[in-house]
Amino acid sequence: MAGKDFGELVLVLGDAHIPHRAAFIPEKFQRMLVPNKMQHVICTGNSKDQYEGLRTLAPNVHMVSGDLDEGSFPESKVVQIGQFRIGVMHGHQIAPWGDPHSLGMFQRRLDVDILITGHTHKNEVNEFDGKWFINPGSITGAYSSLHADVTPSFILLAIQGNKVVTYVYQLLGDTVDVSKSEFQK
Amino acid sequence: MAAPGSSDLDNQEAYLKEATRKVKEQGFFMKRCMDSSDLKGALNHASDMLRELRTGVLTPRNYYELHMKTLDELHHLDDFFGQLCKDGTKTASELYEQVQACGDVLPRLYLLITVGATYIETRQAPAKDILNDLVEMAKGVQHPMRGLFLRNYLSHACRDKLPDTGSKFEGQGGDVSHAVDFVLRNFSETNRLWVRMQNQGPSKERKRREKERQDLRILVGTNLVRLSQLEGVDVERYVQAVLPKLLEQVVNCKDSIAQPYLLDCIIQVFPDEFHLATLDSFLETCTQLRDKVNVRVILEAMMKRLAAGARDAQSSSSGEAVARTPPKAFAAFNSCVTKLLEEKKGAIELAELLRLQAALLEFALECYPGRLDYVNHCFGTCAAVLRQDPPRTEPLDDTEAEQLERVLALPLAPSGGLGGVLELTLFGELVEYLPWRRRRDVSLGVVRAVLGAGEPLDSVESVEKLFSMIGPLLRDGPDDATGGQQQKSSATSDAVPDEATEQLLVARLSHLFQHDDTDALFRIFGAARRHFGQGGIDRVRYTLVPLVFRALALARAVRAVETKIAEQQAEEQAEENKKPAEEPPPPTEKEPAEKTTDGEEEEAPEEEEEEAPAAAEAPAATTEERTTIKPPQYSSRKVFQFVHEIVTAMAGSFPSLSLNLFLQCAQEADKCGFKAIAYEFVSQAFIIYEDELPDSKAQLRALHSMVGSLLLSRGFDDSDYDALATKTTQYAAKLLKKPDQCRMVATCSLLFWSDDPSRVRDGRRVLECLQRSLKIADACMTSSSPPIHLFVEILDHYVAHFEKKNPMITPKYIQGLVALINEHIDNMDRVDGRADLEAHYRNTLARIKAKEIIPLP
Amino acid sequence: MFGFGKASDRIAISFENEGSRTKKALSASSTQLPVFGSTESVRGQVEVRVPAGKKVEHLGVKIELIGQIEMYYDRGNFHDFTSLVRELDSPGVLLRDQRYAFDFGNVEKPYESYNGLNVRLRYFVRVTVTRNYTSGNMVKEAEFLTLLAQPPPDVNNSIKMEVGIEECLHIEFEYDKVKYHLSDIIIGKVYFLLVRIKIKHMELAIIRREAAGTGAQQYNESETVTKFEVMDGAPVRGECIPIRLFLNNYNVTPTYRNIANKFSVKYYLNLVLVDQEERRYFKQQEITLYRAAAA
Repeated sequence: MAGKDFGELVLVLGDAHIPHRAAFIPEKFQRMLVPNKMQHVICTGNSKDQYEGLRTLAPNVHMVSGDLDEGSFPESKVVQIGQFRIGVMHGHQIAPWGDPHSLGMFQRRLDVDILITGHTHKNEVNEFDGKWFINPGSITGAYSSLHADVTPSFILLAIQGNKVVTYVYQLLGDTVDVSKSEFQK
Repeated sequence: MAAPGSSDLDNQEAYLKEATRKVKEQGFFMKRCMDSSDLKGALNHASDMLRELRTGVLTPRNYYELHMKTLDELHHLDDFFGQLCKDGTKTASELYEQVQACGDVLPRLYLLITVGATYIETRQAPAKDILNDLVEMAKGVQHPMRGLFLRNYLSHACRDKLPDTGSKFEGQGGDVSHAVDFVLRNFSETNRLWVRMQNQGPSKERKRREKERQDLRILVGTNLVRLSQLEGVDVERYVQAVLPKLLEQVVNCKDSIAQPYLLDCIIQVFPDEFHLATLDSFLETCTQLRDKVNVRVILEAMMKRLAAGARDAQSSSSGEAVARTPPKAFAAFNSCVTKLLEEKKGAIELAELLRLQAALLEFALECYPGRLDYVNHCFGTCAAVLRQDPPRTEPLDDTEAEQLERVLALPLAPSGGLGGVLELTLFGELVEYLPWRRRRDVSLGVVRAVLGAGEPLDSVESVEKLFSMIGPLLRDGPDDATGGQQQKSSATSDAVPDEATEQLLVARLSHLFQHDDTDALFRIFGAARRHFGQGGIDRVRYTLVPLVFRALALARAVRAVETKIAEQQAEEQAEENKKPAEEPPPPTEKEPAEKTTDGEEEEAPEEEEEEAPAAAEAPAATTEERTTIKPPQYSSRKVFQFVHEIVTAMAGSFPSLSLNLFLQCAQEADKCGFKAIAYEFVSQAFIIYEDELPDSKAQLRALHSMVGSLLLSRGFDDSDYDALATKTTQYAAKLLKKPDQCRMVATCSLLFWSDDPSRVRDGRRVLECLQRSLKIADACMTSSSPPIHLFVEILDHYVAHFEKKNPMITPKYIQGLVALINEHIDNMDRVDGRADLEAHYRNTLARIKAKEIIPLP
Repeated sequence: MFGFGKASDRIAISFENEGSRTKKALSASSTQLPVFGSTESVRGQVEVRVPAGKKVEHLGVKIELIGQIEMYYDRGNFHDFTSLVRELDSPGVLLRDQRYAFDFGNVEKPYESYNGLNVRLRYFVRVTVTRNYTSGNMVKEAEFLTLLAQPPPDVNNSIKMEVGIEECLHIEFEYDKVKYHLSDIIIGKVYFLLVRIKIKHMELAIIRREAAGTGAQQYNESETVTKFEVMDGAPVRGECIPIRLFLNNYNVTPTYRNIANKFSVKYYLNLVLVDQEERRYFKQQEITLYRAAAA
């Protein structure tokens, strides 16, 4: 899933909730998450159990605290990758949860090009006012009171110059569905 | 020529040096004679050189040294003899006779072998005859060590002179049967010499002798390698002519060093297909060995070998299932083991018996993946061995326990490929024999296996079975209990992470519970809670949490069914159209309120009379079934009660976690349309907030979750909502740190202005929050570092509410704040984060400008 | 040596076809001599050289063919079992080199040449130029060998024997024949039926026993022709050790029984076991050696 032409690859995932809400990362995903392909891993939290595993995937792992991590990691983080400033938060601090206005407020507060949050267990790639809002969903498809059926998902960012390509990987039944979108600064 | 005495041992180096010198010297003379074509002289010097090998002084290792040096010289004769025959100076047979004039038997035989090889090479006589003669004449050396080396030379010199299939010596020279015969005879003689070493010399030197024998064993084993290298030895010949002879030798030599070594050689040098064809007779031999011989090691080696073969075959055939190991192999091994048990019951130690079963089991798992019956069979044998009458009182010793643990752990390994771990009958019985600590390790293996297999646990029975297998992970054992508190506290630092890892694994099991029927699933949850509940608070914090989430999902599913039934009934009623509604839509069973486990505060969510049917977005899992849906025995309320009990029990020990769980419950209950239940859950969260939360950080986190939960809620009555929102805002205002207060109160402003116009929209309260927040920020003001970041954040909230068209939030507030910030921002000290702050403020201003809230330069 | 004259280098004897005739030496140290068959005529030439300007007066020239047994212990005691004389010349004067042909037609040579420890049996021709007392006789001898081929024996059994020391050592050995020709191979086996001693090695010795003279005058002498190690180390019960010995390699004669009532030569195989204390256990067996006709 990676090649030289992709630029810097960033794996974005979170809310695994193992063991509270799931036993494993789906096997199909596990097989895709192999070392030495990605340069960064960004994790939106609630994945304490996966931290060591993620560290084997890429040299840079950026992890923030989820609502159940009891403060093991920072509340938010800003990462510069290529030309992009990327903000990461779990998202439970941003009320109402998943609200675009509130997200926008935090995007401005962190002064980032891309704001990555989780918590809702619903993957999103949205653009508002020239800024990008990304939510990788839950990689395990963990239970959430917000949605009835949670689809396991994660996102891959390919950052090259002033361009970001996002690949959303979703596990629909037994098949992995990929959708791609692109944006420029 | 007796065995080396102690003084000889001291002088080994000197002896070796002197002998080596003589060998070199005579070798030199020999070569000089060869150069001048002086056969007689060459032979004389060769004999003198070889006489050095008659020494009885050297230890095997040093003799080996000398032997190698001598052979280095002796090799020069090969070419010389070859040349003499080639140019016709001598016939090979003349040479063959001539070297036999040597009066000493050892040098004579070395020379004879050397010429013999040349003789065969010339093909002036059939290879078989010469080989036959050589192997026979070599009997002249009966001294074990010298004989071993002589015969090794024989084997080496003739290795490429055998009339093997495809060899140039085949035909006139004989056929592979002669080659086999030669090697077998040499092997047999070699082995006899080797065995004989054991009985020579004083018994007090037995240890040293045995060591020397071990040093020399390769000289015997080489013959078997030779046999295995013969092209003409195919399965049939191996079965008919080779193995029977070898086994006969093994049995008859009655030597407890030779027997295991030779059998191991046989295992290692011949291919698997040979072994498979002769397994019965091989195993038969294994039951006829000396008592001292550890048969287990031999059987294990054979099983390992065959298992490795099966594994290779499997991997090379790229996953295609090949049943390479014939089905009777297991039976053969098993009957051998059984026979050993019967015949040598007293002689074999329990640990060895268990080890043997472990080996058999490993073999079975490797060669017959998925054959549960084989595993159960091995378990049965172990159980039979362990059961005693009267029952054993002594616990197993460490070695025995280790082996039993291995037996139990083997089928659990991921490579075991065994789905049905739970089908292992006797597992429970066997595990009882282990000490607690080992049982815990085995239990962990069970958990890993079950998780690895990923098979759903779909009945109370299977859950009970599983939990009976992993008891040591679920509760403290006798070992753990001893020592009491202080031991526990002293061991905490290093013991806890280990235990945490274990419990994190156990916790995953809950996700395997599955059943389409909600009642059945609930019963499974109930069984699981009962077992997990015994684990004490340190385990429960891991194990019960997943059950809470599973139960919440179950509640949702049950609620969906209930809704469906209600709809169906409504339809029926509409059809009937005459009768008035009789029953409220959701089922309202009265259930006896169960006491919570700690019994401190029993509160089942109270019954409510007029719950609305669950939200329409509930999944329609059981759609389109024409038949009437059976009402669930366990209602969704019952399920909520279940989680309530669980979380309540943990609240005292893990307040943050419990608070979060209560909020999760509340969210789900709200979604299901149970406003009273939801209210109860939130209340519980608030109680924890007030009584238990350890620190301000936890409080801050809790408040975020509370605000989020309230904003998510849809079902609360206005008054209830108002009470909860007010309470939350009060909590926010009481946070320990002023900046936290400031931010949180501002955030709470969101509670009073819903995006949904039909819900709470209290502009005044919003303004109150923001102004209060501003006041708190003001209180943080110091001359050196004004809390501009707080001002900007509050400004953001003003802007947000302005954008939400809250009429109370007028541009003047925004204007005022901007002015305030502008006033201070230039005076601000250069502090860390100033650039970030400026960027933030710039973004806020840009937003204000874009939305044209107030005029900006 | 009175009366016999002294060996003269002025006399040369050569046998007929001497260059092409088979020559043999009785032992490694002795010279090669021409071989004559048992009834073969002994012919040749004698040359008496007369230095230039000299003359040899003589009382007659004769040649004798003598078969003689000589006992070393009794020097000068010769027993001539064959003695033939031929006159080559009547008394006269030789002025120059003179040649004479001689011919002992079909002379019988009943015994083999032998060179033993106390006795020897030899054949030679002796030329004597008889002269007066003052000048002394001129004498010259030329030795030759006679080797008598024998037909292979009609009966030639193997030697098989069980010997032992009670509770100590019990062996059975076997030699394939009792009679061997001189280039024969002795093939045998030794079975160890009981071994309670610590054997170091085993050897097979060929022993020659020569008996010379008779009665009180008899001299017996034993000589080990060779010691041939056949086993190194200690066998266990049931072991069978092969023996193979090429007689060719050793200097043996046929067995001689009571030659002209003067001497006998017999051969024995001696099987010797040596234990670790250097004690020797042995068993001797006579074998008969004979000379086979050349193939």
